[in-house]
Amino acid sequence: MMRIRIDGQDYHVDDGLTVFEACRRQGIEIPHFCYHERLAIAGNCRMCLVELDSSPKPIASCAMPAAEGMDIRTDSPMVKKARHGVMEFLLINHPLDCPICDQGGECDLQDQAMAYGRFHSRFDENKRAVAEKPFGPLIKSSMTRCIHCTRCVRFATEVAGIEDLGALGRGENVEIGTYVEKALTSELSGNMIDLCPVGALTSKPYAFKARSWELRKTDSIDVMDAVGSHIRLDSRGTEVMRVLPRRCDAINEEWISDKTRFAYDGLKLQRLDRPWLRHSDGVLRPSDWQTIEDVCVEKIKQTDGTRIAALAGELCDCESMFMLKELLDGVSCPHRDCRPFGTFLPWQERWQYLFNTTIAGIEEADACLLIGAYPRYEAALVEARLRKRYLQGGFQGRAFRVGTKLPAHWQIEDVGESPHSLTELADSGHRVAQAFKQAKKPMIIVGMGALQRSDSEAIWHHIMALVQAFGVIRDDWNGFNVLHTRASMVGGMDVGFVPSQGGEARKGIEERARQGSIDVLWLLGEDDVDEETLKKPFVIYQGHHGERGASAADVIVPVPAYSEKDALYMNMEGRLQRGLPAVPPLGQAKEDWRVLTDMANRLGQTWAYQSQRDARRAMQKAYPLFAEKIGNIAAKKEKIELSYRQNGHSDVLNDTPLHSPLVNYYQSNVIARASQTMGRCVSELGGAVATKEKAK
Amino acid sequence: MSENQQLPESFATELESLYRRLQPKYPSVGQNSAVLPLLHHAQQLCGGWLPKAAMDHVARLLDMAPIRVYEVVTFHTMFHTKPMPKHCVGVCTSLPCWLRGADKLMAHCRARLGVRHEEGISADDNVYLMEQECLGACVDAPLVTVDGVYHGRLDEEAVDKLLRSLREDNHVGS
Repeated sequence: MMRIRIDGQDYHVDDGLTVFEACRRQGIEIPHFCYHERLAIAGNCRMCLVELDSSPKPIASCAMPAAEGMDIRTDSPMVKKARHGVMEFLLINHPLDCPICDQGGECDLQDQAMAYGRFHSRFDENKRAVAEKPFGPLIKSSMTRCIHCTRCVRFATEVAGIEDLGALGRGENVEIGTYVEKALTSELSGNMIDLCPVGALTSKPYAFKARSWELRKTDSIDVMDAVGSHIRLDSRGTEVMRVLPRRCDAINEEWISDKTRFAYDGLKLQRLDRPWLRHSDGVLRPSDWQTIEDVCVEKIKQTDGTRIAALAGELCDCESMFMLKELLDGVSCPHRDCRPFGTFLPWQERWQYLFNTTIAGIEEADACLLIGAYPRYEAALVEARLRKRYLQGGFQGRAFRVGTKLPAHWQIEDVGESPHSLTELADSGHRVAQAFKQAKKPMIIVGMGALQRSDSEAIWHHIMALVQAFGVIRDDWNGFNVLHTRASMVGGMDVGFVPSQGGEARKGIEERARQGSIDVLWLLGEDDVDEETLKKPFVIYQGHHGERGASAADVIVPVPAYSEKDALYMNMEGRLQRGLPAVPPLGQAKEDWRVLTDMANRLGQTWAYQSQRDARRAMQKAYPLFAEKIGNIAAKKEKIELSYRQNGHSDVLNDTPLHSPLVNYYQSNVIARASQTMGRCVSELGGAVATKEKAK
Repeated sequence: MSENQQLPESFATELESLYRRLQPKYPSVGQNSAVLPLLHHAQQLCGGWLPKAAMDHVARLLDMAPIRVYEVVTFHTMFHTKPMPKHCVGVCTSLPCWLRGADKLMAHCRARLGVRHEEGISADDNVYLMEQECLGACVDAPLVTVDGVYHGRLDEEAVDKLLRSLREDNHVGS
């Protein structure tokens, strides 16, 4: 602690703070542009000038370390004059085109010019104009407005890990750019829009669509990946106009991935807004709720429970999976799965399918092994956290990967592509084993690339052997992590949307459906199914987008998308989260709980749910995990007994390299595939991860 | 295209040997500091300017991101990113030189060389005229550099003389 005086008042502040931070912690706001708490200090906008008694000139508070006995003034005439001067210089080349600028209304420069700007410009000379820079399909640039705070440069270099952006030129001629024409290949590039304090970088899809004050802001949770980023849905009327990040230090800090931010236009396209029924001539026609419920109920009543099956898709919320599971239990149907095709992932113990270290916990880890996991594409914010950990130092030579050599945004050592390398790692002479032996907090991240193969059971066995050999799970540290790609998967396993006694898992369900021994297949928002599988059974598609699942369905049950419902989600860490509706359901779509309650009651099950809340209470009663406080990681097990030998067996590893199951980062789910923005990203940036290889 | 110009044959080895000589001068964490001498040498080898390939080569040598080298090159007025005419005349327009009449000299040079814009190539394609940032020799203000050589305490007449010598040099050369 040290004592400093700010504006005539004495304060005790922590050591190691800058003057800016010291003031901010006392609630004294200092205007600024270039300073950002998650980026390196640049000190180049000069807006944060304050007066220091021992200095004849004003000092840039963001770059000045606070020291014992400093006497700082943030409100003196000298400070005010200095800031007026800085503002006048910042505005010299600024076009002042606020009426046609998308940043208008939420612009730092606009706000601070109100406080420190002159009413009239004294600058009679010509203003400079800067050519637009090609920043790709997501970011619209208007570089004449740039004030060279270099936040975007620092973000690209530090957080995103793409050192392509820089400040070129000198003095009046400085421009932000890449020098050579180059698309920014980052999954986090959209965050530069938020960081830009002026209107130089704005959202291209959102350009000229709305003003910030017209938008209704709803706090929600993202479902584009299993990270569960905190987001804010900005809506106008019945339309989601844009998606922004919310601060959440435990998960996404204040970033979100580009898919989360820009896929929202998919919410308006290819939507299912009314019930559909396939008639006897094989043609799908619009129908009404009464008819389709009759048809479904009749069909289920006629069918034996063992000939019914259900698959849950990646965007499902916990309540709807819970209710569908209850409904199926009511007709004694054991076949259901929320995991993608061919996934081997035990659900008996919760730690086996969670990202146990937690995302924030990555920063503590001191050794890391990725097995078939590609966080850059599968969970961009986990990649950002790994990069953050890497930049802290000491991670070099201690981070390894088994799997295909896809580019990452931090340095990682490849130690083999095929699962056979797992057996070599355990050897105590191997450098991975040596690094892990020295590590105090080692972590293993197992990706879907390792778990969705024909030999996944054997891979699992070897992974568990490594977990034990390396001491990855300790009394005070759990370094075993599963990197999920589907937002619904952890929740689905938590509510038991997995085969019950005598039930088939995903692979078995699909095989049976192809053979014709499944008569009714209920797809809860699942589109990742072969046509072949959907040919024979009577398919009920409950979802919000007309895609593969819906086009093969016999009955289409329209329900709201994530932006339209109040629902609980579990992210990959097992953190309970709640998304809120920003807009009402589209057209005649009915909430999942209403649909399922109606159907269950007509099937003779007496559910008395009057609201979503009733359904949630029932779920919380059945699974106390969901009664946990929102935002907490529910029910951590104190002591983990490693019983790996019961799961998986050691034979048959095959030679195929571990691929990511994701085909394309930008188009991994129905909303993203419907989105035109994501389509443009694919055509302009690529974004392909791997070719789909199903283990059949 | 001139941007994709081939580097001279000896480029890689010459740069490599210079870097080896420079290495001990900088601490291990400050090896990037070698970027300036390396770029100067590279520019000399490439005939007075730095093609992108040369900058990328320096970046690789120092294990820097290429953009960091581009930043350095575009910042300093003594590096050129386009092919230069035979001669390069720079007029310092920073404060002390300006107080001693630099802008008059600049205007004079422009008129004499037939440069229409603030900076540019002379009418006879022989000289590149540019403004320069402070040359650190304010004691001799106003300063003009001719092909890197400082000339101080100049007036219009003295500048004329310098420019004339360049033209004569051209005649001799061609």
